[in-house]
Amino acid sequence: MQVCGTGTARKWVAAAADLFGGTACDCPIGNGKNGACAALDGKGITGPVVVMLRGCDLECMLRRALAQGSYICYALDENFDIAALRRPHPVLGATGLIAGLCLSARTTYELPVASIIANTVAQHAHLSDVTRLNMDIALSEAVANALLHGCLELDSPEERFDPAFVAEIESRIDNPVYSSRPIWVAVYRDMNAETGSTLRVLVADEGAGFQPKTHLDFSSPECASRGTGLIHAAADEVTYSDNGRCLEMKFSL
Amino acid sequence: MKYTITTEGTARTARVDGQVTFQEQKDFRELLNEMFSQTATSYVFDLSAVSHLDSAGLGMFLIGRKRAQENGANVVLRQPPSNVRHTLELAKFHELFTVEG
Repeated sequence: MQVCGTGTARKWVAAAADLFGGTACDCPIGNGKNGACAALDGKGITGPVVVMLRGCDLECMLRRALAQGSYICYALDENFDIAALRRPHPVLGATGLIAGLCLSARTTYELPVASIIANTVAQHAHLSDVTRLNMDIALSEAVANALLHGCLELDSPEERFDPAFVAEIESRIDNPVYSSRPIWVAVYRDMNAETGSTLRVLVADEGAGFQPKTHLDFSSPECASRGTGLIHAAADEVTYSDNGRCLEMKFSL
Repeated sequence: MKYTITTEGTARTARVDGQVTFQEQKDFRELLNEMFSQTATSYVFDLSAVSHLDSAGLGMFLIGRKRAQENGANVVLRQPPSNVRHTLELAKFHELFTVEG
């Protein structure tokens, strides 16, 4: 496994190589014109790649790296201590991996993560329009939950639109204690001779966790946990683990 | 998110542009205040330029519906793009709103 880095994220490459048991790549990544580099375009790369990303135009770099397939991309805050990750999160495996991401809460807040992942998956697996829409919707809600409730430790306001809630989101996004916390997203394609191909999407955070509600009427338009309701409506199968910190969603292909 | 509000007859129409998600709650609150600052028999949200709608966005439309009902008016969600329409259908919003186009 090769580990590369762009911009100021190069400082994490050696530590990440240790974590993954990989090889630190010494390619001139990030030094090319307009941020062009060999690894982002898959040139000269064989086998799994871990890419540490920082710098301007992060969204563009993420899309390019993920387009190669089976890349694991880290986009963390400047002050993040890579050693704090200790090890690759268990949601990031190898078999069938289409895309793996580890993003800071701040980066998650700033980027259209669900859209980036949906586009990536569509490049590597044939998705019907409905499946793509369902995955986009469910992933968007799952990532928002991991961000707001997991990383930022915010409870849903009793009154929708509570201005204090909105202000608190912005306050915590500006606070490194919350904003540097990681969110993990991994997408796998599982092949099964009997049940066919399945898209498995995992979203995990390292927050306090929660007890998923099981007695809500998710089909009710007035349901208070509307985001969770949408996830259940959009995905074929929904499973929580790790005390609610890890959500697994399955979509039939 | 950007918006423009126009009045034609007894209908007020807000054309919403961009994404309607939890990040836009502040802007949408302003939209609703402006929208309902004048009475109308029908409040229309033109969604044709909305790129993405999430559960927080759905909640915002429910608040709009509540305020319209307090005025004895109805709410119309007009011309949602296919992805937005899909979200509305998953949330069964067609049971609560008039969805046109």
